[in-house]
Amino acid sequence: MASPKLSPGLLLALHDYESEGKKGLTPHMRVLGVNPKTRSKKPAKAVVFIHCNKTAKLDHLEKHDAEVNQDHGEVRTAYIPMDKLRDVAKDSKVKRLVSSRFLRPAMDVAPGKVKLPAFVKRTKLSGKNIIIGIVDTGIDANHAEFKGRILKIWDQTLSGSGVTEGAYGRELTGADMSKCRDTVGHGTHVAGIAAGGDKTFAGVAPAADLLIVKSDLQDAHIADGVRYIFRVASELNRPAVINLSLGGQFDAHDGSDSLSRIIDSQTGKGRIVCCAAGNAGNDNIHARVKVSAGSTQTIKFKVPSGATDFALLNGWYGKDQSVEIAVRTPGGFVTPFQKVITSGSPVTTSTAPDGTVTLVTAGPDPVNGDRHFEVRMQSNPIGGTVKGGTWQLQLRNAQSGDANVDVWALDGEGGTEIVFTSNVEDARKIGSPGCALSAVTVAAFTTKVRWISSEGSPLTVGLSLGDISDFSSEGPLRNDTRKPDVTAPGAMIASALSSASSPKPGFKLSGPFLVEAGTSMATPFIAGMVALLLERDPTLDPARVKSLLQSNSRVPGKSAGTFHAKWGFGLIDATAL
Amino acid sequence: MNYQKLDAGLAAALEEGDDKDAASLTVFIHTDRVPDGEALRLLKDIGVSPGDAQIFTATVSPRMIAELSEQPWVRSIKLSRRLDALKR
Repeated sequence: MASPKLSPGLLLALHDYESEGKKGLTPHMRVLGVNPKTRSKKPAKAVVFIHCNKTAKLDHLEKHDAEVNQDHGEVRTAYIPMDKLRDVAKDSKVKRLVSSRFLRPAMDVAPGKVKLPAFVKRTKLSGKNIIIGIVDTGIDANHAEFKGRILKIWDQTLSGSGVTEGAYGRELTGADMSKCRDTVGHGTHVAGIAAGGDKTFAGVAPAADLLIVKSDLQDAHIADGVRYIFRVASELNRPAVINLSLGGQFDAHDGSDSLSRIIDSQTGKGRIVCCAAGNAGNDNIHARVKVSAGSTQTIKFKVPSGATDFALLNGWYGKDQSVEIAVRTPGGFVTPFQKVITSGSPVTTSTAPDGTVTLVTAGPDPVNGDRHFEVRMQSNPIGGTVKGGTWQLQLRNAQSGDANVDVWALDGEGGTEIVFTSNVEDARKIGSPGCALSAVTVAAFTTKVRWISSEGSPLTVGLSLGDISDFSSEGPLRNDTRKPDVTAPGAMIASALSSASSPKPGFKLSGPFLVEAGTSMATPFIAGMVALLLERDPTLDPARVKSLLQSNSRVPGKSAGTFHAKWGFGLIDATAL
Repeated sequence: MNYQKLDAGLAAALEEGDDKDAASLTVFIHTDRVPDGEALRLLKDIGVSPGDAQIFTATVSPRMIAELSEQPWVRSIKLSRRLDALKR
């Protein structure tokens, strides 16, 4: 019987159900929101979208055992027994019934956007014999995605005698690897994108082996993790690519920070590191100001009330310049101007009724030679939250030359609660380790904005489909070095869910998978691609890998080789890789 | 203490610590050359095996920071910072 209100997919499922019963629904499970539960006595149900008038009352559909999830809207979701679908479709208030489709827990959309399936089909590359190192929040070692392919885990958070690179934490092998718990879930998700190998899920390099470092995310310990992975890979005589979906804004934003320099010293032939560009694209966390000789400039920034117990400004300017700094609290108290202090402690603390302000004005940085200052704001007395309101950083140049000052704002958790309200420059927000010169630094592209959660609810995020993800951090570096290098799918990406984590409602998909977004997700996509390239040529070094990726990327509407502060050299296209 | 070898974060952190002997500061130590001889002995005392590296990590006390900062082969000492997982 024809039912014009039923979508083709739903009609086909219904046809099979009516001719074969619940068993007939089995082939539809993977793509449609239908639940046959063949061993259950409960009726098989479909998860559907009901198209109707925005204010239509649908309560009466209960008589068909339909469970409608919303009471308004032109498209609503519902559970409807399969054998009641035709009855519901006949209802005069129902314009159309469309089956929800599972976002397959394979990156079915993302790889296609960058022509990866054709590349894999042509080259037969899978990452075999390549090591993908992940330094992150841990891994669910029992997840089917990684079965038999995790070589070792250095869990830096467990007590133990450590490894060669650090006498802390514990190295886990074999069954002991299940002692590593990824309660955050980030590391498991990232590993799944790079190397997930389950039949229903396809990471980019599904045959690669994994070396995992569960870190406390201290950059010193991340550096130890990088050294550990390359050392173990070297002992196994195998190429390795390391994924660092991590970042911060504490550094000089020029690649001279300690972690970046260690990455540069560790990379080489068959030793590649991929880093996330960062997610500060929408956040006014960077200000740039020119302080002319003999003048004073003021940068304003806002601290939300009750948001953080610690606010920090990280400032840098040229080696031949000298700038005095002061801070004005929301209540109007102004600290004395502080010059660069080249003898004794460069730290002073001022207390005001509405805050405690610590200024640090050290001499030239011994590594890059530039001048660096830090401003810390806390409550008075210390222990509460930083006074909310507009604060000011005052910069006075008593020298003869102009000074160009870059400042980044951070809250106590390294987050983006503190934002500049003047002198904002929407650029130069790629911090360490994304600014490591030898690293492949990755921006994020949006390939999916809608999905169906495990509860059957359709969810949408406010990102522009088929465009650079607005949250992706802009380059270049403070010294104008071009970063990011390349753009890859980073939103919304389905990947492995750690069983020890508690994902946000709605983000969990059917099965042990969830959707996430971030340059964290784009980076393992490229790390997986680098594993494929290393399988083809194990001698590739960072320069050659970057050259290959950059020459096979393009900013939309621009010619190949064009650099863009947000896209880098553009979205990767594997067609000719 | 040679403050000229410390970064701003470490200089500020030193002001906060009460126990000068507690190994409470995780840092990067940058050296001018691959440590050997006396330098190697001092580093081994604090549990560091630098190998052929010129940047290495350690967790040390404020008093040891002061001692290291006075060594001619130590170029700079920088405070380790906590990074963030970059999901939205």
